[in-house]
Amino acid sequence: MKPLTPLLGLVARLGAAFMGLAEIVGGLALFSAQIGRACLRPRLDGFETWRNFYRVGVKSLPIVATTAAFAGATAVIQTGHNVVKFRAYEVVGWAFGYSVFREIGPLLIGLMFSGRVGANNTAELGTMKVTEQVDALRTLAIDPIDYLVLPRILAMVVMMTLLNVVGDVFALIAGIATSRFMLGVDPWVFWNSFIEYVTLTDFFNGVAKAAGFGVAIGLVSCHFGLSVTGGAIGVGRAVNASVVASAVGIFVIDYFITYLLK
Amino acid sequence: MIRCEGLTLRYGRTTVLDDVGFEVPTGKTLGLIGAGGAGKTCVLKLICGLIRPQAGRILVDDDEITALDETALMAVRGRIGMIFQNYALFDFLNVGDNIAFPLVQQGGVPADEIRARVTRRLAQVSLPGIEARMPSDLSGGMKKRVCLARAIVHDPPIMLCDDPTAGLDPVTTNRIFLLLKHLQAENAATAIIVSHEVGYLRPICDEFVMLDHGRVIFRGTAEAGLAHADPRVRQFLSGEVVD
Repeated sequence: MKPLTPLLGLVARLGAAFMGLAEIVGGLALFSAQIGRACLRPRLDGFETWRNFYRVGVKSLPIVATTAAFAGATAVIQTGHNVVKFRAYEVVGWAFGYSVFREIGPLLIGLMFSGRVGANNTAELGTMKVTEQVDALRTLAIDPIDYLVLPRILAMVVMMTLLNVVGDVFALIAGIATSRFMLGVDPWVFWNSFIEYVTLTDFFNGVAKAAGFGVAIGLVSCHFGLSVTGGAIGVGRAVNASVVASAVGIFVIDYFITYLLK
Repeated sequence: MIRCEGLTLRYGRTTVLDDVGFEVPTGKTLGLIGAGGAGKTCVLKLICGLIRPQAGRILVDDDEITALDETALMAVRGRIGMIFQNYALFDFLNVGDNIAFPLVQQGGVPADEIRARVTRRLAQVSLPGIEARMPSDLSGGMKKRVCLARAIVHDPPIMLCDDPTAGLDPVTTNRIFLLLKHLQAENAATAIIVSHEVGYLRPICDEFVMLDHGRVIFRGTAEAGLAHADPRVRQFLSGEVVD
């Protein structure tokens, strides 16, 4: 056989990459359709649902609180230079709330959630797949979508949204403390600025993003988990792909929600 | 009754099963034998509808598995108890909950009755009192027996056993085969047992089917197999090296 020229080789690689991408997007679309169909007649297992709410939500609380607190403190430090320079102390609460509630909070919490919960979910489902536990469920006349996927996606959407709200509170506390101790801004000045200029729309903008991120992380992590082939190596590959795809999904959703709710 | 006709299964360019056909009458036990990679596990997964063949059809009683969609397959699978080669116990449930799982999910069985059945099945597989232990705390042999207990807890009329004694000591192996025989007789179950333990299989199987590279090379009783013209069949059934 004649060897491929470099140009043909490049075309072949591009084609393979495109086919790989199409396979992922197509797989996700079909998987989403399956989930949509299952949602029409939801049959959730109570124990499995609560188990997922606990491990997805409660167990993520410390890391989310830490992330949010540092995000809030960082936002205040970033604006601090100009606040001090222009003595614009009365806008520090607004600058903090607008940036953290709308953008930084949900985005960082989403990425953290994806790394902790999404990766864990892909690994768990992938291991269940390669150890025939998913086949065992089907043999016992139980639909894995109903039993494994729906509770996980529900837990991720609900808990990602709630964690975002909790994260907002921690970010606010950290923001007030940072502005007090680093910028010398009185907490009441910060609070009044925050209450006066930050609207519920800003808050719900972030909440909508968090819910969207929860859907993306749930769909992607479950899809990659249940698509695993090839044993432990396959599980590792799936976790890697899941984290990357979730992160991409988070930024794409962030863009569209920001655009739609601008 | 389980009937397979002209089953062909391919993964890419690899033909795993090629025109495989056999029948297991109701209440009978079939031993499915063959070297590793012959396609035995795939046959069991096809019968459960876990994978679909490229050609051929499968009948389980009056249901044509190969023509059913996933929802309709659920009803058929409720009549099947399957023992998996790799145990397939649910990591997140303890032993008791694993065994009770089919009964809990089916619904309609009182909690006391479920507990009693779990206790009885664990005693039958010689593992009494381990309900609270997690699968990760068990040895391979114990997991296999728990898997067996889960597969039979709802008294399925069809049993599919994929290497139920792999890696077990001879005493436990014998005990498991005796238990399978007892359960099969008790429920008049139709069973297919995949195993390399031909010596243990011979007393409990009515017939054997031997696969070689995805094709059926023998179908009949153990006696017929021992007198078969093909040395591969004689060798497998007798366990002796035949040149």
